[in-house]
Amino acid sequence: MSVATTVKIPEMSGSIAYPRKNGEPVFDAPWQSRAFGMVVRLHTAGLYPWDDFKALLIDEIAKQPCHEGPLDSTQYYLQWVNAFWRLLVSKGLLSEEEMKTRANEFQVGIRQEVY
Amino acid sequence: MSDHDHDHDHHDHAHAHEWRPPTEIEARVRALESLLVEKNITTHDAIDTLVNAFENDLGPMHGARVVAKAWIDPDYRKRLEIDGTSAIAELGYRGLQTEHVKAVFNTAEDHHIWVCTLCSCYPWTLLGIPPVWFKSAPYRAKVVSDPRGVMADFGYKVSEAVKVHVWDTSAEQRYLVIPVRPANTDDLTEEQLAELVTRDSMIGTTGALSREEWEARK
Repeated sequence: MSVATTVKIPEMSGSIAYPRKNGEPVFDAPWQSRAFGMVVRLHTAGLYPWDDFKALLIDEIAKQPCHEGPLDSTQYYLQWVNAFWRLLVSKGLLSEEEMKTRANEFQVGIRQEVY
Repeated sequence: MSDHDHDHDHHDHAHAHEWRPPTEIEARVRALESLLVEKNITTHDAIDTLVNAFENDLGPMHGARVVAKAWIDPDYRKRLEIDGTSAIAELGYRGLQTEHVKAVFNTAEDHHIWVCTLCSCYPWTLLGIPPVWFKSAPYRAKVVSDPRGVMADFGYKVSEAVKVHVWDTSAEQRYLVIPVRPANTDDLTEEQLAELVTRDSMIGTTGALSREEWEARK
């Protein structure tokens, strides 16, 4: 946990708390950890203040119908990706159109490897 | 592995890497990562490093529990040999998709090691997030041509008398190496035994921790 001591994720509690076990994030699928990693990485690289992301995440989660208990990690990270998507557009880092085009290329198989 | 009468060396193993459409969310996340890297906003490695730092040990612990149980329970070991996916599911760990997990057992005669030569297929639920080196081109190439050399890179030496088997994972078929139970561990509990089982020992680049190494970590 060497990086964790230097990288600080600001407090995320209540409805926006991310799924955790023993205080650490848990992911149910690789896309969730990649999405988590991208948002935190770009924040630590200074591309946006954490609160900008947090505000969008709160908004995305608020759009969802009421849940009994906490969101499971799939539901949670869907909102996470939605919020990140909007943040990238609002910061002018990526355009809506290029993200849609690229996602479609992965979906239909024109592109297959991220690495 | 006396009851194994067929050889599973890498070159005999048909590689079934059929493309499967990603889910919509997977496609979106891949799109974001590929665009961010392409535009030099970040790198794959930077994301890997960050995720690894936050990764808890839950993933590798799942695999380690399977190994420890196989060490102490001969009936479980048998079931694991016959049908890895079902035996692993007994412990409550199920694949996220339809992947099958085959357990391969190291013995005094055989050592197993696996790789995904084409991409980075990995038994995620059992071993957590793949280490950065697993996806690297040098590992993927060298493990096929020189598996003993790869083990040496990890500081692990396998006697020339031991036959090394290299397995290639695919989207449908994953592997889990069951390392040899270290000597002098008869008095350890199943939970303690699981602590001897490292992620790398379940990939096959090393063996399980020796009792001395385990004690030194405590």
